[in-house]
Amino acid sequence: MLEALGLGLVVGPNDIAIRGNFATVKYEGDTPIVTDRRAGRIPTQGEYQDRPQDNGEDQGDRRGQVNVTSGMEHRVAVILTFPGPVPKGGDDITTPIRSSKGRAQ
Amino acid sequence: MRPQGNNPEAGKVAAVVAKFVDEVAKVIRDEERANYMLLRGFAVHPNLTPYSEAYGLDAACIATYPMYRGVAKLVGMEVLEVEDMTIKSEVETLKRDFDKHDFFFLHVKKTDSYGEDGNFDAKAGVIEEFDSLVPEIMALKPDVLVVTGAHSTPARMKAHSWHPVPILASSSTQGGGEGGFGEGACRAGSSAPSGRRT
Repeated sequence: MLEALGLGLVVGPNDIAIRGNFATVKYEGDTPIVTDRRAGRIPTQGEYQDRPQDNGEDQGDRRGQVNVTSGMEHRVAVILTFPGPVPKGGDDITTPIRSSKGRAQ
Repeated sequence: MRPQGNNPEAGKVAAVVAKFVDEVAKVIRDEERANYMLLRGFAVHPNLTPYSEAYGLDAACIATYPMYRGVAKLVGMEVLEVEDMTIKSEVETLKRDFDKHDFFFLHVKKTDSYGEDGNFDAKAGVIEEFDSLVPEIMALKPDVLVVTGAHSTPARMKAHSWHPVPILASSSTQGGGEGGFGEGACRAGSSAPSGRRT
């Protein structure tokens, strides 16, 4: 949320704002294992925004959008826009991270 | 590393997020360093009480990093434009707009970044750089100046830590205190107010 607002994005009632990192992973089979969760703190490479686009699938009014905007260094903001208001508790999501340090973060 | 919803509604959202991450991973898989995207901090807009309503002050934010600008926006501060990423430009912004607001939140980022990198010398350098600009801030004659941090980031630990966070408060109506704000004085845990020295 804070990353998204700080980048000048507008967050509405249909949106879930997500703070992200670009990271470095190695694959063990199909499973990504994080070796650097900041991708070596890659330098900021100007502003990037992948503006919301039609997802190409005809779903009537059930159409979602994704907005991806680069932040400083390895940081990124993602906004998922849903067809209607996000239900209460809809943002209660956790993402366990498997890292090469061998523990969940 | 699959996003997990902690209730049925969040489960539906998590499924969308997982699909998005999979698609991103396909696109950037061959990048040398940034070959995956980790997502956290899922949030809907909390609609907080604006700062002006809560405290009766017209507040402005001077920060270079997006997250802190976002914090400020969330509580209804005006986020001011800063010419570049330097602390000097942040102070220049403060001087430029000092008469336009009642309260300023001025954020310095690089002490934390260098702490996380374990770069003690660079971190100390940022603190010294800010110190050199304090006289310019005091010349504006603020009613109150507070210096503090969100958390400690010792270079030796290369991470945020549990250490207590010191607060320096200086105002035209408070005197006394030893005046020191180094690590030694802060470790001693003094609660005496710092006197104004302008």
